[in-house]
Amino acid sequence: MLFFLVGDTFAAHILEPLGTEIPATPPRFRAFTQVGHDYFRFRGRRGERRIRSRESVSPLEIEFGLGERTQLNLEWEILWEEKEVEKHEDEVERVRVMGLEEFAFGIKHRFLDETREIPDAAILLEYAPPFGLKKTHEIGTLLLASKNITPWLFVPINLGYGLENNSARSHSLIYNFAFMWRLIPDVLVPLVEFNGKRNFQELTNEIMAVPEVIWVPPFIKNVSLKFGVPIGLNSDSPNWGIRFGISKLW
Amino acid sequence: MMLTLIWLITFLLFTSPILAHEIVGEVTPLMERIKTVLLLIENNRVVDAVSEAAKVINDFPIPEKKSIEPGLKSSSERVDRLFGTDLHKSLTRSLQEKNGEALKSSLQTLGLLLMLEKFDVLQSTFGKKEYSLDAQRTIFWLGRNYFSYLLEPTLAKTDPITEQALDRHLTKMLYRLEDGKWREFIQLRQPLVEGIVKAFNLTLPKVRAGPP
Repeated sequence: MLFFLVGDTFAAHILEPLGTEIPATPPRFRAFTQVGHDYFRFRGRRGERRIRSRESVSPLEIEFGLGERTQLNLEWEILWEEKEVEKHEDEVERVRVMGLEEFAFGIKHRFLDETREIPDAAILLEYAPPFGLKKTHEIGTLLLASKNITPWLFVPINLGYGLENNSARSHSLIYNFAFMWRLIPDVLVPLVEFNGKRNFQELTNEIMAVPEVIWVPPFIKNVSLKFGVPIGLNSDSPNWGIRFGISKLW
Repeated sequence: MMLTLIWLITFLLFTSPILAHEIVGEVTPLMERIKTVLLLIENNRVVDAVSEAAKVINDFPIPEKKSIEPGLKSSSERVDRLFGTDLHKSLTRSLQEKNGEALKSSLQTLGLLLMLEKFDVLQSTFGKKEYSLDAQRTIFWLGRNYFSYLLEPTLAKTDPITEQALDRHLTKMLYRLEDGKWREFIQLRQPLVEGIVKAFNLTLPKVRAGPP
């Protein structure tokens, strides 16, 4: 059986987890795209208020290789959210939001190549103008690293900072990491990722664990399918969700 | 019946025999046969591997293509002549002794030398106006495919760090070719050979950096 389970290898980009970026960049003048859908559900209290919300986000990501180590990033996110906030015991406020939540663009540059001792590492700088539902400018920077710990275990890590130019100049810290098990290298990769965001203005710390699987189907070239189930790890986070995505290297 | 069905579904879902790391252009029938032999050895089926290799030791016909493909004997003799190696002898010995490890090593060396043979052809086109960049790219990929198809999948399983480094090294060579920086392309060739020889623990005399 094992004889037939030997897979061939693919470019790293399509094996990127849904919520954690990897430092690898697409080949020069080639594009990587990822479309997906995230659904989150929250039932609980935020301060004194009881909240029930359902949120769907459809992100589209395009990465274009500009050089040996540099890529251009473009990102859109379409949001659909339905929220019920209990104001008093018998008064419930219902809010429905739908539209383009964010359009962002940026540059990623890989400045370290992985060796036995050092990881792959890159820096991503991004800017989101006021566009669609977003009324403020936002800039962000993300430091990305990844390391093959063993031939079977690959660990990408992100640490980022975002600053939004609203009245309170809110800023946040983003942290993501994943443990990826190369069960059938470059064909079937189960993983668990942790996606966190600490907002210093709202004093919230959202953190989710996402058991996930990435599968590269043998019948479509350079395509991967991804499916994950985010689970909130604290009261600031959605209770649970569903995430899926399709990636392709063109 | 149920087991067959499960096996069939697993086969369809998790194998990718026609896809490899960025294979561009042709995978020759000999490459396909060598890969089968290497996979059999990796799965400890040495007797089957030797028997598969024996089928293609001589030039063999491909009825669908109505062609005669070069076998292991003529290919190894050709690279021996080109690079001054002794590959045909070691290949024959490994088959006679039914030595899986030696056979694997000989076939990996053959893959490396066939890649270098294509790079020799490519380098002989440098500076000649009658060869377009597209033609040069095609020759490059015909060479690179030997690494991507025969060697890289094994390395991806055992040593992904080296696999990634060699893959990026080959990509860098492609960029130098596309940018017309031929001297840099030639300079990158030797570290590539050294990297592959070290990664697969091959025994190879120092091979020249370009066409004779």
